[in-house]
Amino acid sequence: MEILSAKKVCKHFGSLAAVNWVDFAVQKGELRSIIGPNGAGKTTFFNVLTGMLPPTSGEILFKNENIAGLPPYEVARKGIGRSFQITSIFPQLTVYENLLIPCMLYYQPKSEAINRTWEILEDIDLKDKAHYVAANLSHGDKRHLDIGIALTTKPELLLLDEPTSGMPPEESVRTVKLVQKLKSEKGYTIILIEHKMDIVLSISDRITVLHLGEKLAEGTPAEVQANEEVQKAYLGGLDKEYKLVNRREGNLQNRNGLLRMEKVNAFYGESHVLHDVSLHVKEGEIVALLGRNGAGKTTTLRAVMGLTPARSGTIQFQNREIEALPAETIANQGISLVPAERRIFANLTLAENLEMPFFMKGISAQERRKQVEAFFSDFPFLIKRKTHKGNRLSGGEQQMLAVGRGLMGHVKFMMLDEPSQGLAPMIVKHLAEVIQKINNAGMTILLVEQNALMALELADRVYVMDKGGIVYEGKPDDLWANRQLSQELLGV
Amino acid sequence: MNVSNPVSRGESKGWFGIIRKSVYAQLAILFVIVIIWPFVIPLIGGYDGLAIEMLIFSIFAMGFNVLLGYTGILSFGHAAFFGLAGYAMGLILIHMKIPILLGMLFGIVLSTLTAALIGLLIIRKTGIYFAMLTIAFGQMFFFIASRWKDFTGGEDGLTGIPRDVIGIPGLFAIPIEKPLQFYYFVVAIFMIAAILKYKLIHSHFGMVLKTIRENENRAKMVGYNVRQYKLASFIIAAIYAAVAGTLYGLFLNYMFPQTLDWIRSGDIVIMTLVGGMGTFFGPIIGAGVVVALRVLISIYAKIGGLVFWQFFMGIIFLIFVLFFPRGIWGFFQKRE
Repeated sequence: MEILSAKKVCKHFGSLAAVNWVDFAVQKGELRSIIGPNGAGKTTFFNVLTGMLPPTSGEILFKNENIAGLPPYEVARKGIGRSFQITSIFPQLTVYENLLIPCMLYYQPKSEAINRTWEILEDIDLKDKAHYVAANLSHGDKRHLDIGIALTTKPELLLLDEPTSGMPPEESVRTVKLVQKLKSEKGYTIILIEHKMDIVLSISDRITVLHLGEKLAEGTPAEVQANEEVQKAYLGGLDKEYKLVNRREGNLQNRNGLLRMEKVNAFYGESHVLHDVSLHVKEGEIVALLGRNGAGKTTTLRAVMGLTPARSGTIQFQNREIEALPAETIANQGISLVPAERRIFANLTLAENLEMPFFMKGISAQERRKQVEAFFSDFPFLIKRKTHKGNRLSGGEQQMLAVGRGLMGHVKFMMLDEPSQGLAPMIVKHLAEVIQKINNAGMTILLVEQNALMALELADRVYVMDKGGIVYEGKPDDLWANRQLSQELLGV
Repeated sequence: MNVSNPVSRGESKGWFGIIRKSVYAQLAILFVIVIIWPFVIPLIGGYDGLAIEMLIFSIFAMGFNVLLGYTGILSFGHAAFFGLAGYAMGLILIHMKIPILLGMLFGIVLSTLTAALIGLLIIRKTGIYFAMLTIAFGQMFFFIASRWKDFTGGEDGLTGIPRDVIGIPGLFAIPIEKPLQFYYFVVAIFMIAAILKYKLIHSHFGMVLKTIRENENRAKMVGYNVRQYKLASFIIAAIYAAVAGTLYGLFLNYMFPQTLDWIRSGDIVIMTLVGGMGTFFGPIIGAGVVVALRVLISIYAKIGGLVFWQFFMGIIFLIFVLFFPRGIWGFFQKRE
């Protein structure tokens, strides 16, 4: 039985056809994945299905009733639940309240709602964190809570938008198990947007591929994998290892040191996050900083940038101590940070976002044009998005823009926090090539990544963090070769 | 597994612990303080009138907090509903000689209906656009009150609002003419307002308001008609404003255009912030503190014979925003 059937659905933003004549049907009990390059219209399609955006045209039948254009709260009440690509929870309420309040709309009396809340807490594995304020959960737990909230509304159809986004492999496994359980034990029909192909191929019944707003292919995992057009548009002839062309060997011994951290300690309020972190980066190097979620990687970058100032220890950049300087002074020395949360200016266009760093740095218009042109030659598929506002860009496009913006100006040292997050496999590969290219042009790079494969392939040296301290320093190949160690430290 | 009390508040010992844990005990303490307040206030240089004013603005701020603190919507127009209710009550009492309670009801109902109408028009807007619209509507009423001289008394205000007895003619009559008598009438209304608000914010409705404050889109996506809830919250704040407005008119025997001004709405925002947004007791305390400080500063802190209370209030407000962003109550409340 078809539970959902979308017919000739279009969603246009001005001249941009984000979703274009898509026919889409899902059987009850099915687990369907939607994949496609960044900006393919996947999230927009979810927004149209759930009433967040009214479709420009087309029909959406849910249990044989047309729900196209209904407001989101009515769609939710009809039985479509949804989780979000960018975690959407009620941050200052407790985990328990996050679930109880929506439950109370669907379960009466209140005791029923309370029972259901504990059931969901059990399912999403957050029972012992029920009384935490949601904002204080780890990233992975927040993602699970997001799914949990979607389960409160008695949904028959569940739309999950990149549930594993930003998760390291071992946490992804936990989430994938949850999704499988929701399907097989709880009987939900699920539509899943996901970039991690190993996950998509292993758990989907069928896969739909979107490309530039249109349906490119549909079929079983095997069929889709074999489809040549899909290979070209999405997978990019990807073999699982990121073999880059000009893998450079050694020869960095004699370079000067650029950044040196000595015994840096940092705190968020009372909680001690970085414990005696010491690391160094030489000119021209790519250094990878790996580790599980919550290991302190992002905080290390923030400490260098002066956003979470070190409480003790020293940080030197080009032999000058910078640990006590404010962030903008540090930025002016030629350090840039591309944060994981992207921080795109929502109401500025892509081009304006890109030019923003120049206004502060007093660089000639000629130089500015040159750098902007270089960006578009690295990311040619963004040219047609030039005049689109930041909040109209897809998640992946924002990510590429954030990386590009980090390059603008007189930057000598660039810190990238999970640049591959939310990017399609082909784009990840492309991004890796761009990183290598800018490195060859003289940029020194410190790279934080969940995608250990990519990071290890790119890096000259690697540090691994755990519980706020550095636990490993060495060559990527050595870490890679030592399966037991990499398993233990990274879960890969 | 403790299901009935989902929010654990840590261990507390003895009677202090009981007070920390039980909001009913806290409410009881508040009511006791309010009842004995007129006998305490002379000690800090105040008087009965000041006590009355503190309480009236506590009622206003309490309701306003439903909108600002719980739903997360900033309005600069709720003084209009305060003033409108006061004027409407005053006019009907002056011209029609009906019982005071009936006059109050008239003012409150009229003001509430107006709020519903305006809310319906503007609630679809958010953030700064919404705040600007509330100013615009508020100023409309301000100009009506200050320019329509024949009807409202114009800039001179509406004088001669009677305050003699409340009751039902022929059944009973309680005098409220003397300040202390009127004070206890306000206390009665204050208690009802406080208890209702307590019930409200702990109801399903109140919890939904908090989810809207935290994440409006997600609240929609789990099935709540967010716009309806926001409108209801807007109207509830207006009802509290209207109740306070009628009491204010009775208190002064007089209404003046500045009661409707958006600057007065700003005062309420400040009171809510100073006390502690989104907490039950915060705005009550905030309103009391701000009103008392204003009057006491005006009396005692004169520079060269001139009153500079705005200057001192500015400094106090600055200190709060910079160093106590969670307000007075938030500062003393332990973080969970």
